[in-house]
Amino acid sequence: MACGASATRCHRVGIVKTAGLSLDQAPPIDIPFKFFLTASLFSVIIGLLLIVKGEEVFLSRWTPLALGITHLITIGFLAQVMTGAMIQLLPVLAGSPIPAVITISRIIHLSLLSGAILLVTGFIFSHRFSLFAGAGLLAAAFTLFLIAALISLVSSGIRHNNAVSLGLGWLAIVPAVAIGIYLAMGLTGIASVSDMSRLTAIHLSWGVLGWVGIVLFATVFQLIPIFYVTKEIPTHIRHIAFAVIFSLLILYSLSHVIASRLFENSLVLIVMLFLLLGITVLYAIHRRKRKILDITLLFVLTGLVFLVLAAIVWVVGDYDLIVGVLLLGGVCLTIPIGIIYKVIPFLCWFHLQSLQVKQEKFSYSLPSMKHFISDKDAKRHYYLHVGAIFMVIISIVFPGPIVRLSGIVFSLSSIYFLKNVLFAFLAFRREQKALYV
Amino acid sequence: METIKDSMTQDHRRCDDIFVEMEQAIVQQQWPEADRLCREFIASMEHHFKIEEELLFPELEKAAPQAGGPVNVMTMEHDQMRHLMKQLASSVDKKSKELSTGYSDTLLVTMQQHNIKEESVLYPMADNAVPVLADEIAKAYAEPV
Ligand code: HEM
Repeated sequence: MACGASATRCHRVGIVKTAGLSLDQAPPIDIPFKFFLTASLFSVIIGLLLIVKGEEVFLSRWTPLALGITHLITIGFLAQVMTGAMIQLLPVLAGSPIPAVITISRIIHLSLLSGAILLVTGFIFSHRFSLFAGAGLLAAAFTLFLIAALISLVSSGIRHNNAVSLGLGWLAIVPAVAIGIYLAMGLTGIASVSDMSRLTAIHLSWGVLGWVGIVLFATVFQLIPIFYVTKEIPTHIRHIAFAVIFSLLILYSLSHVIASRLFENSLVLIVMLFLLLGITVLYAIHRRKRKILDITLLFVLTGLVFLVLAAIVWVVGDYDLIVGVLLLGGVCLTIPIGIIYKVIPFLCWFHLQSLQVKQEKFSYSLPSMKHFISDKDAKRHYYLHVGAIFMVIISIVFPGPIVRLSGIVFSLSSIYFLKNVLFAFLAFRREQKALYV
Repeated sequence: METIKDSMTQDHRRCDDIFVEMEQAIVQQQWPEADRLCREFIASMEHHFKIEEELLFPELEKAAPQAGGPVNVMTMEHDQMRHLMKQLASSVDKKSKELSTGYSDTLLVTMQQHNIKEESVLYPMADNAVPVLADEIAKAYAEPV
């Protein structure tokens, strides 16, 4: 089944190792769709929470609601998007499919889904059992994914350049989750944890900078030459940058046990490195041959600008909440959405094209990528999304009824995202049916 | 001396350049220009495919049987691109900006992911297995399309 729609061709090509050349080894398209749709549902929940409980959320970053929303973004949205995309991408990168991909991805999807719901309810209602049940399910989901990915990589024996960077990024989820569980024990009084706030900073650094940061940048580096015809960023520069970031994260973690200015300041270096990477990508985009400003590129560019803003506000001083919104909402939502809007149409087209060859229906004219998500729909979502982020920031600076309004705009934006992904799926199904009759 | 990878990569960039110009003309709806560039683009692509399919791939498969898999995938993707180019040409014919940009966008992604795979896997393989072809390929590209 790993060959998806084009089993016959996969068989022919599969006799000789294709060195990761064939997208044909990609798993069925329902799998990424399922993960992306779930992610969009979680972002709808964030919007609804902002409408109902907006004032409470932004009192401080430590309110149960703020912690709940933080994890709705990181676990609810990002974990779904990133694992869904990786399951799709791994066979292509590694040249060998994930074992029993349908079953494995179903288990991962369900445990991420239920784990996120339980963890977030645990935060919001300060419910101990729910918090730990959620944490356990999440830990299980990530462990299963890492093992499956490792098997796929090892059995292929092929080292794709980018697999190293992605692997490093995924490794960072281990300390992030482990420290998260320890923090939860501290929060609920099961363990006495010294210096919670420092440890929280270490936890979120592994999660946001290590896991999301490295995986996201490794993906962006890989995709911008393909999607926007930019120059490739040399592989050794990427490898060195990610390795340094990872090492600095280890040093920063040591600051919890060893008091040292050097260790503490490694966080500043990490942020500066990401800033440098962000500027490198912006520069490569600026220098690209193809001058058309694609909507998906606009999402990516905007996300990078939010990254620069977040770093500036962080350096200027005590505006944690704003930095959080810029980073989690501005960067960690915006860039993945842009990538999804390019990846989904390409996957749809690619799978249909394979099916067309298999069915030998060459007289049938397949629609192009834009048929699945049009520029107009992506653009509308872009305005709603960026508007929502700005309104949330304004409502932090000027608390008041505007919070609800920002919640409404955020909800609309999320619903629009859900609609776009869902309609792409339905359009895919229609075309698929047309090829089968 | 130019390696196989050098010549082939340069030709990829040459096709990219024409593509970018063509896409610009489509977006600005300068149809006579778009039509001319579309023809030029398709001719360049076919020229590139021809050198690969008639010269490079058969020799490579003879010298290195393990290249058979990747060569199969590449040839398949050539056919995908041929199909897309046909759809693109007919949309440019109809002077439809929406259809044309849709197909050009799809073609671009297909083309770029294809090129990266050739440049990072297949051409280095060829430079190893059939280095004697380097001159002949360089010469083939020196000729006008
Ligand atoms: C099973 C997984 C996880 C558990 C059990 C967990 C648990 C926790 C706990 C208990 C806190 C609050 C600490 C305190 O009140 O001082 C926290 C904060 C935080 N976590 Fe997690 N976490 C998990 C995964 C993640 C991941 C994967 C990320 C990021 C990608 C993340 C990002 C954050 C952030 C940003 C904060 C700080 C929120 C703030 O400062 O306002 N967490 N986490």
